[in-house]
Amino acid sequence: MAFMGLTMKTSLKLTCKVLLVSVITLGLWGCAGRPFDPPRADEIPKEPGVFTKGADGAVLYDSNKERQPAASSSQMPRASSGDMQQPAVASDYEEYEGYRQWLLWKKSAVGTPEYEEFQQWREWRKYQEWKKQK
Amino acid sequence: MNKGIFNYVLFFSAVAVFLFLGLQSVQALEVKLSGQVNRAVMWVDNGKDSSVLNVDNDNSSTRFRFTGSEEVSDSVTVGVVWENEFQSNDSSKVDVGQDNDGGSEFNDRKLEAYFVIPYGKISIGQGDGAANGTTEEDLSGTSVIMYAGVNDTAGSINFRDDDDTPIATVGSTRSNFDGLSRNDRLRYDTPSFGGATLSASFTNGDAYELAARYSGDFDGLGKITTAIGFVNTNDRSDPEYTQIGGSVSWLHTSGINLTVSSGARDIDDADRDPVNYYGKLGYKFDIHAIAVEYGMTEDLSQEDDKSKNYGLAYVVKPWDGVEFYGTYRAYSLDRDDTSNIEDIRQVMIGTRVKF
Repeated sequence: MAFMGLTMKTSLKLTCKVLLVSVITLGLWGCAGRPFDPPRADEIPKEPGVFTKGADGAVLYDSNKERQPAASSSQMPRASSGDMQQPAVASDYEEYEGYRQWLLWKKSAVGTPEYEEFQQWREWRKYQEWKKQK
Repeated sequence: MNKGIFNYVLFFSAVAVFLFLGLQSVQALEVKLSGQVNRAVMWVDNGKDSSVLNVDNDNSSTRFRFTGSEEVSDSVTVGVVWENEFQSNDSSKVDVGQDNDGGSEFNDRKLEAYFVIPYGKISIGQGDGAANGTTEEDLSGTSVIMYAGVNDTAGSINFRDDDDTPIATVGSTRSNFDGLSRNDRLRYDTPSFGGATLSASFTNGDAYELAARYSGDFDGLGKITTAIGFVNTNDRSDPEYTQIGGSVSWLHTSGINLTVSSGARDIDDADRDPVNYYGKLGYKFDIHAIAVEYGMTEDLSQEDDKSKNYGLAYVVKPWDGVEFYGTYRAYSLDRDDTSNIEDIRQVMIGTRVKF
């Protein structure tokens, strides 16, 4: 008898091993553990590197980021008043988004205690500048 | 399995994928760069002489890799893998007495394209054969320096007798009977069915490989991974051979882990049937991993050969992407017509840095 090219002698020697591993495999499969991707001894580890946070290395190109509307600074309306100190932003697009959020807040916040506090802070700052000039 | 039918199945599977792709719009594309440097200092003693060598650890060689993948539709992802290794003084090619830096080798490892579809994954190009890695499942955390493939760090070291006459290299007497490594092939992997996958690949010389794998994480029991692979070299090897091998690795939630690997080869027109046994017991805790191993290959180079080794390894990962490791291994060869073959002892310390 031959099994996929194996001779009788070898197949006898191997049958037990094949059955054992097959039984273990099927038994484990039947127990329904959560699948995971095991590490390979000879492969690059699937984990962050010394210079990269992702498990697959540094991203050289990502079309999702590329397609984001990156409006140039010249096209963006600037915040006319320097009254509100915005946190540092990573790009013109994010800065513009921040500005829009600020406008929305300003519109909806009129009359609220936060808005009143903001107005008082503006007056206090003007007072500080006036004091410096004197 | 009929070889012709197998080839046709793979061919038409590939055609089906290309037809299935159709004209779809691009949704997301990512290109990534990664790599690692894996260098070690090796002390090796063949019983007659010893050397200290700076080597590239061939268990997981120094290399870089570009990968790219693109979702061409909701159900299809196309990807490429381009991986090259760059080794100076490959640890599998050194021997006692070497007094230079050895060779610098720039080798292609993977140059492949793949298509992930609802019915699985099809890969074409140079990459892992279906059975590659099936005898090397290892969850011990020490495989960077010690695993079933002992030839990667000792393959070219010669056993010598009392008279300092070379008898055989470790590599000619040891094998873990893994698959056909990486080769130019067409490969198909089924989707994962609860962690189980089946794979098949066809390569040059009418050789083919089949494999089954399972990996599962069980709450109280820990993680278990297992694989079994079959190889038929047909004309790719002279003499031709068929080979079967498998491995199981279990990492308990306590950190204790056990790995077993075995394989056998049936060589055409040869009386001997080489077989390999390998076991490893380890403990993983926090950033540390330790393990001990024992392995033996019988009848590979000559009938009644018994080539054995045992070893101890320690690996620590203090930071993301950085490992430091050390190992002690001893190799011995029992051969019927040769007496007084000296044992080989080896110590390696090194580091792998992933970027």
